[in-house]
Amino acid sequence: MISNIEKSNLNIIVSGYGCCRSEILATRGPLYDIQRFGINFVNLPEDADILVIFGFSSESGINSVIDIYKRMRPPRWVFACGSCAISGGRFCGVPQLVKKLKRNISVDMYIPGCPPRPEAFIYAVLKFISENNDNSPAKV
Amino acid sequence: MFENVNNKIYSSPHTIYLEKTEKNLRQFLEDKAARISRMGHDILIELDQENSGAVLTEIKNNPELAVESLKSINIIEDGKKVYLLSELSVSSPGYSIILKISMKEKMPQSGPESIINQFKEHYGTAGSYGPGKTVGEEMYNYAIPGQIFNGFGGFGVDLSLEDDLIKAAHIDTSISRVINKNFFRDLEIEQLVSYMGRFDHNAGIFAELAFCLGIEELLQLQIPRRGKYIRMLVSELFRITSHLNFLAGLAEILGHDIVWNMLMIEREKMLGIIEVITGARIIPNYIRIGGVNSEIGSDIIKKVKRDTAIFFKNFRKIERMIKADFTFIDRLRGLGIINKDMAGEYGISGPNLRASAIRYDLRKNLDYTGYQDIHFTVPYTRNGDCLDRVIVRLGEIYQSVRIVQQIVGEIPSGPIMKRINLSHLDFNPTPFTTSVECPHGIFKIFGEAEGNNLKTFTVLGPSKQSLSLAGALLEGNSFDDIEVIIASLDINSGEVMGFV
Repeated sequence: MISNIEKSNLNIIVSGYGCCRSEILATRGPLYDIQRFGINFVNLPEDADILVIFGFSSESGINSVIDIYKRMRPPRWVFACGSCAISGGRFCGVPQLVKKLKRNISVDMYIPGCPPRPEAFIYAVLKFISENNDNSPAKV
Repeated sequence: MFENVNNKIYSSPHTIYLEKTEKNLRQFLEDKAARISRMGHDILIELDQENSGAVLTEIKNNPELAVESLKSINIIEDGKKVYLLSELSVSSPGYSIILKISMKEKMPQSGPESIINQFKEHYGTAGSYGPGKTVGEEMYNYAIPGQIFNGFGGFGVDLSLEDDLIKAAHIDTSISRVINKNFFRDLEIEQLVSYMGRFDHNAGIFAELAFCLGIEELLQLQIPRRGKYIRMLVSELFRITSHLNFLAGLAEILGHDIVWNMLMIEREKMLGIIEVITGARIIPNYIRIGGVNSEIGSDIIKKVKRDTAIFFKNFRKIERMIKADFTFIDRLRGLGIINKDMAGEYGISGPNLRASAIRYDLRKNLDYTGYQDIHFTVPYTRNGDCLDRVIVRLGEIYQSVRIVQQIVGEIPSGPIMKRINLSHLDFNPTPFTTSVECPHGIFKIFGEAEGNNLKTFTVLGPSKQSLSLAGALLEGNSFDDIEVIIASLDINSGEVMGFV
């Protein structure tokens, strides 16, 4: 069970590369402006509350994601974004890698799409906030 | 019509040259190569692993061939055997020699070291292939991991630092050596088109276009003129968004928030136009074998005409802001210089090459989808530094707007697609390569069609060449400049995922 979010802002760290990356990072732009909901993108795992996984990774890539997850301070949450991170997708060379990732990391929110639109990502984050924080102004 | 008939009857001087070279190669490599064949604008040499050393030495030392650079090393599989595919470029007549070396046994994921070492003897650029040295081992003392550093795609950088001066750098692609080399195995050729866009994360249309052009060449299909124009229109819109994304990335790294915001707004507007035409933002799935997926109506043409005119005015403002700002100009001038020799040695292409005073653009030089009817110029600069790479792309955006405005002004009527039944395709085993001019450089694919499926498939460039160059380019620069130099090369992480 996820504990309630106590602070007003959420820091997101993204891990991976691919089409999802350009769509997620587009939410920072002036058109979508995800920052108006108090959501920031950070570079250090220690500062982050949410880890967003996307894209396909090799063995060392998966280890790097797990390392980032371990460096995050609790409470911490994980979003899996796009077909590759959810099911491996067509381009995933070794299907066991996705299983290994999910053994080590519990995913809290799945965002389907290949790649999901920026609106879908914002919807997922706001849904997550509204479900876990009763005082949140961002109700979906 | 007369030109089309003419082109098919008489061979071009380029084709005659290639035929001669093919014959010569047969003599030189008589007992070493298993098969030598001509494949579009390139020559394919198939050989066994035992002969690879002798063939490489012969090709390198033969003065008639004058091989200039090693462009890429790839691994392909056909279900039974593993092959190593390498592209050697000959720049003066502009063709490539592709070596397909069949391996004795299945290789580990790290790549076949022994053959890569043979390449390293002849070509300095082969150093970035094969397993890299990890930090702590030998000379590297600092690592920037690939996934968390803002601005990098699917690779990290290992560095040897003295204070903040970079003594040596190695691009670490271990996190991206991942692609399933058999992803196309159970799919028919027609179904594969929709997966091609994933090889280019900023401008997916060019991968689709390259693949469809390759299959159309095998089928000897003539595309309707309206289909060609729509292809050009969407390609140029994607080129604009990709360059805007490049400029926005650079503005973000340099901390120029106003320019970044303005560029992102314009990018979203252009993506809006693309979405109206294709139905998707960055992975369009729009090109089909024989034409394009859907018709564009007169309303859409009016919208494109109106919006590109507004974009032109807005972009003039952004360009003035960039050129008047010392954070852009002084920071980028003289940084990461690629001179002509270096560009030739590493085989880079596209705007990065044109920034080094070599005016080579496939839209003019090869004329692959009807660019001969359109008036545009190819911008180029002389210094080859980061600033020049920005200026070339600024110029290309204007030229793309010019092309788009011409297309919407004189788009011909007629069908958008050649209707053929693709469900009964039955190719003999045939290799093909295709190149298109994408925003990062020359997007080149290699594939072998067999029956209604592909036997092998790989992407040969252009970001692989830029990535090889990045390591060499970082040496001698300061630690602060890493992000700027790598961002200025516009490396597309979609191609890097197949790195050996």
